[in-house]
Amino acid sequence: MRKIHLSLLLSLVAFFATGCPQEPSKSFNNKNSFVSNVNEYLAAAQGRYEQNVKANPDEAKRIRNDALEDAVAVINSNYTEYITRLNTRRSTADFIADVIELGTSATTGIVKGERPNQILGIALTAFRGGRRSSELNFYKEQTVPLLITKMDDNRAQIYALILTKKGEPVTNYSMKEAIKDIVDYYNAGTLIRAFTQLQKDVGAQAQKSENRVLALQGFEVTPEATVETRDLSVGARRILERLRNDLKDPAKSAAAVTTLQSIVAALEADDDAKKALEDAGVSSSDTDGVKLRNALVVIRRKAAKENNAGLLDKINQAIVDNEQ
Amino acid sequence: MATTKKGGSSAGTKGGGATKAATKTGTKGGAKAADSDKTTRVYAATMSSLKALELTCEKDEADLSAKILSLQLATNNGDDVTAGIYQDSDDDNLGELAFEEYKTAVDEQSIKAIHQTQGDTFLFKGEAYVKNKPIKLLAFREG
Repeated sequence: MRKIHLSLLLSLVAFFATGCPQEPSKSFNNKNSFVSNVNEYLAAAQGRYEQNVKANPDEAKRIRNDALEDAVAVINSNYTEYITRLNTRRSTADFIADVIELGTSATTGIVKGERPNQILGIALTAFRGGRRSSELNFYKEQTVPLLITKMDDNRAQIYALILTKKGEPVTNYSMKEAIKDIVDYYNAGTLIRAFTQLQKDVGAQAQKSENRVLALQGFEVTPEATVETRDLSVGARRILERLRNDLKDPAKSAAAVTTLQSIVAALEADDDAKKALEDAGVSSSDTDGVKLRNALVVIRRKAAKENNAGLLDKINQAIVDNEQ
Repeated sequence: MATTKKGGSSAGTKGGGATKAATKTGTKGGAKAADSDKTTRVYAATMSSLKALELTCEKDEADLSAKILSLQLATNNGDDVTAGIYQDSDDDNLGELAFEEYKTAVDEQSIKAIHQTQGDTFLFKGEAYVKNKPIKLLAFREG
């Protein structure tokens, strides 16, 4: 019986979905037929499910999962034809933008605890189809590929959910919830849902981007470096790196100390640099190479952090000039 | 003429000598004290090119004796800026930086693969303003 229903559904969908390209979609014109056939099929499945749910939960689960797969197959068939028409532009008037959703009356019925078959009847007859193609046709040229991608994405997400839930026992995943997922799956492949989901995605991304931006206050902007200024700074750093290594080498440490003393002596000739060295607690008479080098690193870093380019340049130039 | 060996640097600061400590950062979610060994540098959104940003970051790494950790979009007093975070590091011999702009995940992977073959080390993915436009970049340390 289930196969007969399914065959009937597929036949109807195929018939309605392959209409003459010059005519509006017959499937859309016969939307109610599509919905009513889905309704009829799911109502029958719901009946069998209810008969087994207590006495034979495994059989109820099988019925539920079969219904899911059958409905997904029909919706997929419908969707494929729909996308083909959108892609090939065979029927410009057939820009289906319908959406099926559970109406308020259906929700109310469920809340009031109606019998399952009645709930199903309410839910399925409360499916609401709304065609918005007139407003959307304007955007078709630019947006169809994007919307199809979004619809594919939406559908994949819902289907992944369905696949996950299919493993659940009937106590955790009821037939009613399965039907809701089927409706969601259908809606995921509609343009209205693609638009609204895109809007949500863009909004979320914008918020995410906004949150990523640091909000700073009172920082001085560091000027753009030139090749020359960069080379001077990097050259000074490399000399300091070499001196660090030389100080660890007994054969080179004495020469390294002499170099460092020369650098410090050169800086002591400048008032600003001398003050910085004094603050760092060193002078050219010091013989501790590590202390001298560390002091140079500290006063350079401090000058850089303060964007004191004048002092920084003097330090770097003294290091470069007194390299031995 | 400035040269590496003898010349003076032409780098200057507007109103030079300002002493704003560059170690406190904040997010829109609330102020956050940065680690004491980290320094935030702020670069104008008008940065002339990605290469200029690369040179500027290399200069800052050298002057700060630090390693760059990240580049990201930021605002400074409400103005769009690029924020660079550096961590003090005087123990390493640092190679030069290489910044590459990318647009897609495919770009990203191919650029990484190219630099890998050159022996470069991938540092981070970041964002920066160049000519007032935000771009996505990959940062490498040349091997």
